[in-house]
Amino acid sequence: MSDQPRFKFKKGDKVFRRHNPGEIGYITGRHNIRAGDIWYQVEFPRIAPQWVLEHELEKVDENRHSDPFSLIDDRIFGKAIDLRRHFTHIQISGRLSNFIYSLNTTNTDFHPYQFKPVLAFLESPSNGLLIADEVGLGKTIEAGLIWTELRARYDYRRILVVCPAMLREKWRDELRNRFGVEAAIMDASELLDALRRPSDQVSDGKGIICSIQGIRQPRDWQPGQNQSRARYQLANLLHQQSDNPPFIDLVVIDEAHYLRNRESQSSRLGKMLRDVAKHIILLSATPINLKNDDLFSLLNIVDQDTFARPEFFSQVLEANEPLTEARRLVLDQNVTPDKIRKCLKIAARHNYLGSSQQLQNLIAEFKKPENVADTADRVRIADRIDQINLLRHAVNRTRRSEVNELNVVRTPQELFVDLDDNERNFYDGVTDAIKFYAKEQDISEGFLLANPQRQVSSCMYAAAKAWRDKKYQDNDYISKEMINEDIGIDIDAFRNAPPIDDKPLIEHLVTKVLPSVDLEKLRAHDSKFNGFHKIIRKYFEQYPNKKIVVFSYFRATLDYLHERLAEKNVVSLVLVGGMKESKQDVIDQFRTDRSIKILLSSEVASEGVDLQFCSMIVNYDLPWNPMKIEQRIGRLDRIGQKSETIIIWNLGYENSIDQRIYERLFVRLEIFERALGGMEAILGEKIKELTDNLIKHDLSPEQEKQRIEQTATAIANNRNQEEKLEKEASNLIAHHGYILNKVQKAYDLQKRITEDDLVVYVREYLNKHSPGHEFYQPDNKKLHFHIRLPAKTSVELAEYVDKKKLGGKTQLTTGDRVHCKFINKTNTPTGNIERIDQFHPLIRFIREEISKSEDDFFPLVAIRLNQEIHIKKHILGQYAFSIKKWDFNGLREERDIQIRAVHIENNFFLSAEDSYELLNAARLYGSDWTEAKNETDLQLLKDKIWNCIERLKSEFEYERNIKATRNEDHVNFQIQSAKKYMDRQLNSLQQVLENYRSRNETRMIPATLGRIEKIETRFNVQIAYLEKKKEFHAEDQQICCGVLLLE
Amino acid sequence: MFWKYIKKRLQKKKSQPVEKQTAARKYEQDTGRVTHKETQPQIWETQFGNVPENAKSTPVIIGLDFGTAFTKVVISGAGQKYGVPLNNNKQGTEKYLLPTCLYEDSKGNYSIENPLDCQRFHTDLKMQLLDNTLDSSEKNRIIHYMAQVLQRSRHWLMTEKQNVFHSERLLWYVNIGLPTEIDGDNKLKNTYKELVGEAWYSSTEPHFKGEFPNDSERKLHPERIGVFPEFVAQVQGYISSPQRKHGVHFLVDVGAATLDATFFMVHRHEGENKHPILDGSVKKYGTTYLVRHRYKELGNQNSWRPNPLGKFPTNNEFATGLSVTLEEIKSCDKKFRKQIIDHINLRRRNAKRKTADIQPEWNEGVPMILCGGGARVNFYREEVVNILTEQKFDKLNLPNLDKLLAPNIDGNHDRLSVAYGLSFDAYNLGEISRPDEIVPQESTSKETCSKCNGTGLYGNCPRCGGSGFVQ
Repeated sequence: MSDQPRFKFKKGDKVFRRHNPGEIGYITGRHNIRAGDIWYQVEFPRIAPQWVLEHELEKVDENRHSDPFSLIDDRIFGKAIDLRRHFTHIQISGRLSNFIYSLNTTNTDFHPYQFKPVLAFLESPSNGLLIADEVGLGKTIEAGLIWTELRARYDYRRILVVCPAMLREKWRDELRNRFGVEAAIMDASELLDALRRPSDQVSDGKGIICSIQGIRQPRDWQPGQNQSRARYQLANLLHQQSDNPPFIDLVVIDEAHYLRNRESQSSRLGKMLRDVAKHIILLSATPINLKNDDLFSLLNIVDQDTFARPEFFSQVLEANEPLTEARRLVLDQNVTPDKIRKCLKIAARHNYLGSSQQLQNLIAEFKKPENVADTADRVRIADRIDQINLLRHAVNRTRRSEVNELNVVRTPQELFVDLDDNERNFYDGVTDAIKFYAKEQDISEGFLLANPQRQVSSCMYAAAKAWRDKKYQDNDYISKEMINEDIGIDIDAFRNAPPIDDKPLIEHLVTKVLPSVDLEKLRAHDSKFNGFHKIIRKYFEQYPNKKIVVFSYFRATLDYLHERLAEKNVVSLVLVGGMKESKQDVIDQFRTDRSIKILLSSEVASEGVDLQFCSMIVNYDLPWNPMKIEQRIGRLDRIGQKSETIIIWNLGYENSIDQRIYERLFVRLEIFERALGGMEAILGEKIKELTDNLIKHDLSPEQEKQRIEQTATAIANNRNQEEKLEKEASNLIAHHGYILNKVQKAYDLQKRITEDDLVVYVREYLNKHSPGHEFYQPDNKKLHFHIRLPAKTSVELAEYVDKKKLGGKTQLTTGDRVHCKFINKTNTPTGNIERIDQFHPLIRFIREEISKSEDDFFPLVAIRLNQEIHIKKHILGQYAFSIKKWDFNGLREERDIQIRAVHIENNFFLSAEDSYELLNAARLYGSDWTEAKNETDLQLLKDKIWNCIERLKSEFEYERNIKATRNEDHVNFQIQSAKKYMDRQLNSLQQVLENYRSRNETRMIPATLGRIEKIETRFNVQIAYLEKKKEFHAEDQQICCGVLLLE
Repeated sequence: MFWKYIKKRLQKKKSQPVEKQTAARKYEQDTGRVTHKETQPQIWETQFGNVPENAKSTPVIIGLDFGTAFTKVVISGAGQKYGVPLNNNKQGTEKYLLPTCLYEDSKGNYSIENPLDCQRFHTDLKMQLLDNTLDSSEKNRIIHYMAQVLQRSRHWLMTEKQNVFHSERLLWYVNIGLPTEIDGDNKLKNTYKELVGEAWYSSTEPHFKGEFPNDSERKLHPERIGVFPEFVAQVQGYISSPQRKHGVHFLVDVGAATLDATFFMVHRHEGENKHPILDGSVKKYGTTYLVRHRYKELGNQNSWRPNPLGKFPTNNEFATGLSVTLEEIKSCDKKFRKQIIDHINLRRRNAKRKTADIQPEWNEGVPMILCGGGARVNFYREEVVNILTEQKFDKLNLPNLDKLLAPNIDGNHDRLSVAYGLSFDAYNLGEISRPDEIVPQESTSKETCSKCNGTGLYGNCPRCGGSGFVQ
């Protein structure tokens, strides 16, 4: 006992506990001897010093401690927390390319196709996208998801939504309720103020909504024009900023078909906004085909350089043709690699693809048939061909037929009532008087003539009363506009034309027809209303809790119906343009107030409104343009409709033009049963022709039928042709199949930030860096926590919140105890409880703090996971695994977590997805597997881990090559685009310069020369930047490896 | 009454214990592989049979919470803390609670299991110990009881966690809890220590029947036996967590009989954890006395009595049982509550006198920890706490004992919190010092150096020059 104890460690030695090797500490120099054992005091970072028995401690050997294989030899395994800490941070850091940060984090139902544009957008080299989905698929939601994704990844703040005036409230509500963005509706002057504020002063979670008309530059605006009016100044600001880096993060233009006329002011506005926006999304149900000029116009706004001229567009499609063929061939197992290679070579001959490195690489790969040996290889190659497709990320088009969720059956019903003598007398009287008037006055304006005719068809009493009382003539502009559109007259042309005076015609009708009509009798015996009332009574008897939407073009009709329904004790609500309440407020009232059974709506509710909670619609008067019908039905038949059937009632008079159109045109074309797709332009033309014929010429019913049938045949032919073209074009546009796969996988594997992720993230950070905090979970089945930050952390958080303009989003900065709930869904109501989601200041703060620190991570872990609770599909037993982080830096920064796991016993390698799924579950729910060192064959484990590392290495090499060539192609593409853009700008300025010189306006010359120089400088900087981005860097970093017991 | 009830329950036919399948066994069954071949250790053994000469040693600490009604054990080792299922006849949380009761069969043998020919049972083991009036047979019974608990705990670890420890030499430590003491009751402490030592010695005897042969090999070194105030163990989960605050704390431990009120400091001095007790007392304000008070105040006419082993009845159940109104119960509780509050305030004044100048908590709110079985009773959890909260006490929730491995305990980890705390090694449990040793804490105006995380790298940190702080 007289022996002096021999101390194994000395002051300052770097040591770790054998059973917790992830925490490294230092010997303080204090020790104790108890029962002959030596205890050392060890200082671990940020926690109180601990006393540790000598036998428990190991000295850190830097080489061995960072090498998993040496650690296995030493039988030292890290804990579950060592896996959790690093892995979680990488996921939350917001840059993983195979993650979807908007997935399941918004108040929307999951539909994989809605994420297609999200991923397409992230990969878009032009940072622009036209979303041309068919109606009813939720384009607004897709735009909201894209914004959520951009916010999560890049902390973007400034979003501007430009839409028709009547959709502003809907956008505001959607952004608030679904995406947690508080957007303000602004006019030109408010927008001007908002945009003048520096970008870094914009608060998080805010947005701006403007109407196209409200911010459009005046027709006579010229750049630099000194006018005090806001719209001039706004136009000047946008123009000036076009030479500077973009200062709006995302511009969304809804109903972008209003921009289809390239000469219009709206289109010009679109281009100006494009020049100042980092990203742009256009939303329109425009059909996709080669001959569609509208499509080209919109693409020209999305990406002015690729789609500078119409012929470029057809060339792009031409170049794509052999690519799409090659893609088809690849997926056919019977086609030989040689044949595919030939097809790819044809593609490479096209000017546009000649310089594509990706294509050259693919061709080279086909020299080795083993590269396309199995289905997985072929799918991978098909995806790579898709990536080369030149249109890949410019357009996203989802058709209703592709969406499984939309399987609602439309059931049309019709009621054409017999007229009594009084009604017949009135109807015929008006029809004859109009024809007579047209003939006598030699009038050709379809609208002028169609309007009174349609009013009578809608409701005789309401029409007659309105004419007699001279009501609704001046202020019913919207319905006039809508009728105009219905009969195929271009709205822009209508708006710009001098107003048509229909008073003389009405006067004519009042004097010629009204005297012979008994108005009160018309009201007392209204055949149409009686029929309508019977229908709704029966419906409510059957479905007492349901609601009905009734559409009419005319305010007079709607007011009349409101009055008559009230007499029958049916509560209804009228929705027309120009009301005090917003459209959305009225619809919300209709939805939530159980007593209101019917919404009586004009056409204002036929665009951009969600009425999925109803499943019956009544067309009290019948539009003549099938597109209008589609729009009305589309409000109900859209994503979210829970009913299996939608009933569409169409009302009219027996033996009227309406009936003939209904039977000969609509029924034949199956207008009600199936959506039309986007045939707006063609239909408009045909309908205009038909209307002209029907109104202006004195046709017999037989002749009318013939004309209608001719139109029906023409439309049917057009439709077939359109369908064919669409199919062809869809084939030429990137398939996006790989994107859909990616979405589905991300969803299945929960590749998003879950609530559990956030809890782990906050808990681990506070445990490590915030002594004295509180993080208490009263009930471990709920995600509610009481959190209190210690003074130091709360002050740091407060500074961060201030710096990042995140004020008002957290009480944690006060240092008080705050009741919080972790829920990563924007805007889910949590009452007075603070919601912590991925955008919460604390999460962002922690993310930044961890990124700044240089924490070491332990490279070997042993973890156990209960199969029954967390992951059922994998076989039980031990798995070796390796986790890597791949960073690719070129034009885009991409980061990936890649995992490979192998079942040690049967040597079965899990796929990349399954490996991820397994380890992700282990990260979230796994626990320490302390027995691993004695329960595992360590030599075998080393072999298996090595196998995983090797596999990942070869996969990394493969990805690096693909991404490097893709990067080169992208950079070249952008250099070309930049050059085209500069040329365009310079040409236009040269022209301006010439003009000044020729007019001898020398005063303006220096400023113009200055602008030219500025553009050239900016171009040079941009090119230098792009050239630098050609240097592609790839890094393959080992995060950790280890052994997992699935039990 | 209470013990009759227990006896009845314990004499019920025992159900067959459910065999616990370890991960290793499950894995062996599933894969057909044998991970480790080891002969099963005998119940009296303290080391595995085939430990190699050069095996590393690993400390294993038994945290023994020797309670009046139940005994609980948590063992720490290899970086883990395991709740020991002492009571194999039960499921869920009850599996971890062994009644503090020793049975005696017809031949005079003692057992912690209820034998078929049970003649007597002894349930007042701890009370006798605390009364300090132990005769030799009482002492003998306590030793028997503890020895069997130690044996069972050790054996559980060496069989169920064999794959964690089998290649190592085990360095055993035992820590046991003592009710709060202020004056450093060394006599009781020494008695505890002596009893644990003898119990350990007995537990390593292959066939002991009340005889204790003198064999120094089997003795546990006295320095490996620790005796700690229960309150320190109770809050150890908190003190050792990153959530701990420094300064004055107030602990209210409500048991069946007593309410234990302790003002103490969480304090670090010269790198050591120190927990000076400022003031404390143990009073008969536990749940049993609350019930007694209600009977006394509201009359004892009714035959209704709460089930002593069941959940404490709600006020509604009391009202129905005693045929009184809720208002009557509330008003009768007022008096009892006032006694508690007055008592706590008296203790607080005493405690405050010692540290008023240096501890801001007295003004800002003293963190208050409510624990013990009675903490679940509404009267204490709401009514007493609410009044204290108004009087500059700030209720602190103890962190969940996430690290405690106790399968199927169903969120009742706090039942093992004392045993959990006792499974920390003696040095890390912190020293209980006298109040006059309190010195102001180090200033917090300095920022911890981010390069070395405050460690200073022993003079080598380039950023802070080794101080661990930057100005």
